Amino acid sequence: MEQSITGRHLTEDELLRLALPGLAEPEAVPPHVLQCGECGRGLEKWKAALRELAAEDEAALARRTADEWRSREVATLAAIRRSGAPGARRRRVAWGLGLAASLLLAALVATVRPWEDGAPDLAEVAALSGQDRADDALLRDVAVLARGEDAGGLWNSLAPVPGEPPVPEEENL
Amino acid sequence: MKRSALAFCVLLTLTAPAAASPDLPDGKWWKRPRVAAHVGLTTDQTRQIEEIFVRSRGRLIDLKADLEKKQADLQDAIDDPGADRRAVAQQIDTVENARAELQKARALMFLDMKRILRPEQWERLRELQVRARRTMEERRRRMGKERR
Repeated sequence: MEQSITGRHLTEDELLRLALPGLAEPEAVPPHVLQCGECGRGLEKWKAALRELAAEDEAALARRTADEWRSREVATLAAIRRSGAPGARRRRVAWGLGLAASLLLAALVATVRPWEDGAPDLAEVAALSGQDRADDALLRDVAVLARGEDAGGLWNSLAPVPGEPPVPEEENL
Repeated sequence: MKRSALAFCVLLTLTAPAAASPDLPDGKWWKRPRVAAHVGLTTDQTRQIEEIFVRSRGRLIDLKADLEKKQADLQDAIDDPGADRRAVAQQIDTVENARAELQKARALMFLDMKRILRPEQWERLRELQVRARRTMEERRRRMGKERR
C-alpha cells in the first residue's frame, strides 16, 4: 500500500536502531519513515518503549515484586498483541516475546533467589513430606523464639525499639 | 537448672561472636534441594543430619511449649491490674531461662550437625545464613522506609 511512497518498509531491527538514543539524528531517519505512516508509528512505539524503560531507575526496578514483574510482562505481551498485524509484524511479536522473557528472567534473578534470602521456597516446601513440613515449621518457630524475635512476644508489645519499623507478620513465616 | 541456664546466658554474652556463629538457615535446610546442592551434601550426610534432628525433636517441642506457656503466664501477670512487681520480675527470669534452655538445645543440635559437615561445607552454610539475614534486614529496612 505505502510501498510506493519511497523505498521499502523498515524492519523492526532498523526501527529499533533508529529509536535508540543518540543514533536517531534527524538526518539519519530515512525519507521513507517520514512519509510512511506505518513505519513512522512503528518508530514512535519503539521510542516510547525505550523512554519507559529508561525512566525506571535501578532502585525502582530492585523494589519491584515478582507480581509487579508478572503484571508488566502481561501488559507488554498485551501491547504487542494489540499492535500485531499479519506478515511483517511477526518479527515485532518475536522481539516482544524476547523482551518479555528477559523481563521475566530479570525479575526472577532480582527478586526470587529463595535459597539466598532464607525465605522458604514454596515449591521446595510443597515437595516436602507432611512430617518434613511440620519439622520445618517447628525449626522456624524455635529459631524465632530462641532469638527472641517473636513478633507477638512480650517485649515488642511492651515497647517497640525506637526507630525500628514494626515487624510484619509475614516476615516470620 | 536455673543456675546452669543463667551461666549459659552469661557465656553467650561473653562469647557473643562465637555464639552467633553456629546459627544456620532456618527450617529443614538439609531437605531443601538447592541448599543441599549449594553446600554439597551427600546422601549419607543428609541421613546423619536428619538423625541428629530426630533425636533433638522431642526436646525442642517440649522446650518450645514450655517457653510459650511461661510467656503466656507472664503476659497474664503483666495484664493483671494488681500485679506484684517482684512476682513479675521473677516471671521474667523464668521466661528468659526457658528461652536460654531452648537456645541451648538448638545450639547443641547445630554443633552435632557441624561435626557431620566438612569445614568448607560449614562455611558455605554459614555464608548462606549471613546472606539470608542481610537480605531479610535490608527488606525490613526498605519496608520501614516505604511505610514512613
